[in-house]
Amino acid sequence: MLIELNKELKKSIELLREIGKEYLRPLGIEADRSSQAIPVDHPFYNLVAQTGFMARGIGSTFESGNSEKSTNGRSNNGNSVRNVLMAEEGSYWDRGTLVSLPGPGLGGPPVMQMGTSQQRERFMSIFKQRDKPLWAAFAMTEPEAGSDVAKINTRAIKSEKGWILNGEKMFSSNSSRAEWVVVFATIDPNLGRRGHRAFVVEKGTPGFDISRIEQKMGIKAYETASFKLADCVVDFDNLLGGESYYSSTSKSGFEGAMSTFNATRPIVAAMGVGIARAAYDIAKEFVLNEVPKNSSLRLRRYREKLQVMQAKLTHAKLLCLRAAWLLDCNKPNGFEASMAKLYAPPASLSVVTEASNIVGLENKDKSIYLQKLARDVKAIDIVEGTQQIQRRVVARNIIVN
Amino acid sequence: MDFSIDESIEELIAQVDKFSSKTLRHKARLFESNRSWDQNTLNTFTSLGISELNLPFHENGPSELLAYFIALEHLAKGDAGGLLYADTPGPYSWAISALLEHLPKNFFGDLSKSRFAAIYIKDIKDSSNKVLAWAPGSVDEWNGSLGSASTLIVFGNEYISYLDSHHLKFQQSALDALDASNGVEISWNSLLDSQTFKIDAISSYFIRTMMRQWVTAVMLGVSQASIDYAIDYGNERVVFNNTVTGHQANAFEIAKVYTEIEASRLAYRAAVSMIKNHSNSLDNYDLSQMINQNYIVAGEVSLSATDLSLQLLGGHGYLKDHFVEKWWREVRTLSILFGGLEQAHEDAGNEALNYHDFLVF
Repeated sequence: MLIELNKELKKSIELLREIGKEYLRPLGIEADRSSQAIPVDHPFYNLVAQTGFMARGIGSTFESGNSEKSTNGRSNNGNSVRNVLMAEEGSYWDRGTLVSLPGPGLGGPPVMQMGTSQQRERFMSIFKQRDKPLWAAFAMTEPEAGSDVAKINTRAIKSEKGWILNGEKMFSSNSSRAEWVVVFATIDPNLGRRGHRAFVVEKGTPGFDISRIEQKMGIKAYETASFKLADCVVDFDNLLGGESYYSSTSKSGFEGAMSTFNATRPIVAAMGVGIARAAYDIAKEFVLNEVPKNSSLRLRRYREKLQVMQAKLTHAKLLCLRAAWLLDCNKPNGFEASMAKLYAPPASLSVVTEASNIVGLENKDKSIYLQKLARDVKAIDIVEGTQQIQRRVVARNIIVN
Repeated sequence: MDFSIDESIEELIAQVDKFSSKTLRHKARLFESNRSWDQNTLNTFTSLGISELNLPFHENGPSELLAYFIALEHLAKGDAGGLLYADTPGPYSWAISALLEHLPKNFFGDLSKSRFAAIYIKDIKDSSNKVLAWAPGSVDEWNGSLGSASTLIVFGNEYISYLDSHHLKFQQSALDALDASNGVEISWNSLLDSQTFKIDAISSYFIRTMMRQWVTAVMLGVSQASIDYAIDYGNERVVFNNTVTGHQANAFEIAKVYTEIEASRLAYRAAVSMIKNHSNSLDNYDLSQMINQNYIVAGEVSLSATDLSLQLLGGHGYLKDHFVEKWWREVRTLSILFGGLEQAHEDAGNEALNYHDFLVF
């Protein structure tokens, strides 16, 4: 067991730290104040595109995937651990701005894990260019199917023209500006999970209409959209993995989605840790510099609070890193990913709340920012499977029935 | 980044698990009525070679520490009291290593056969009052049957001293748990006759921290045994037309506690990894503080895990027919050893403002 980083990763984190300080946090604060997502044509996104970030962005598995295993037995050359650490650092500066960054985002993992080599090339290669920012997205949740993913009701019917999609999706990040969206639909609701299929719906496809940009209480820097699919026809080639993927194995779109979650849950959980670390640092700075030195009882109480906060963050981060490391080793990690997602969000929320209590109203700027962090971090306990869903997954793994 | 465990450790754990569940757990129960260990069990423990892995003053350094601590976890599933009895110098090895700098070579003789206890007192020079310590071993052993190697180590913020058994008085322990440690209470009237050596504050802090590392591993082992036992029971027992674990209210609590144990395990193993590897990438990290934090979290998790386990068995959990009541008592005693959770809170809190944050690269 060895907890250390190579030089390249350290350098990447340091670079992100600089970007975070200069761009991520100020943009996130501005988005929160104005309740407006960062506009698509913001110069910052062009800057991001020019760096080649989209091809190797946060949460991206562009360079390799489970289907392209390297010779050392690792499936993606440490990308999962890297993604966890980058997500944590990026969220330290602003989770909303981080998620708003151009790139394949959550759309990337299902394409890389379920898609054929032609599909991976077709949909992912656009992110190699550096001329302008591009986005992709992922859409699973429906108004009547959130945590209970098996209940999705968006229908996919095969026709001579292609697959016809009808239904409604919500809580899809960046889909309003995406070049394509991975949409999960069912060929027959009676088949449950076995009926799930994943399609790539491209921007401008007739019948694909963004119906609403959600007004959220936090993480406002990126758009969370709802969209409708009304007789939306997609090519046969846009069925991820092709029909053989679903017929030659026991796999379904559901397995693909779950596999995506196994990759993304540790990342999202680490985002919570990053947000909470920001709150911790603010509280620590407040205690160091703004609490009178002669307030011994108060200082003692704060010291104890701070060390408990710190311990929670350490424990949470280790769970995230272990789940990601397993994925990098091409080992099953669903159980561990859920443990990370079960533990980190409530731990992070409690750290932010505690930080807010320590600062109180004594420092207006810090107090207001901590309130933003509290609203931001609460989302982490909901997205990618609520804490309750994670408890179900963990319980299922340790309890016979 | 590597979370893997060496194959050699896994082989050792397989042996330990077998001994722990088939022998140690049941022999410890017998001890509660017989008040003695059978020699075969002790011999088997010795043959596993666990204690030798934890000798920080060993020529090769603490290279086997991770194996040692993982083995401790699994032995604790058998019996934590038995560990305190048989694992010597066990938690006291770091205190002994600090003393060894001042003492002639082989002063303590064969460490694996000697009895030790250790206690932390803030200011040794002022501690002329009668003080109670607790140590594993029988009254007879401490009264000299093992010779002068029966030693109490007393350390403070600047000093470390030792007293051999001639300076000590003993009586049978009245503690509520860890019966099989055969614990004795130790008292003395004055430390003035003892051999005392000056050590720095950091060394003192580190010694008591390392003792907490030992307790952390043991508490987590006990907690894991307890929750595993309760899950097995709950999978069979039917109430309201469903198994105990089948009720979501129970399943959710089990999942939460199970995850908290796992998080604590990762954290304390990470700390062991830091000791073992002296990782340069973590030169901004204060090992002692992390161990204290791990101990605090593990203690609190263990208290809730053993309590949940007992609850899941209901009235049966309160009876000696099952082990959960024993584990419940054990954790409550373990969490007050070596200064207890309160002292650990104070230790960790004292440095909370001065130290770089762990795992921030």
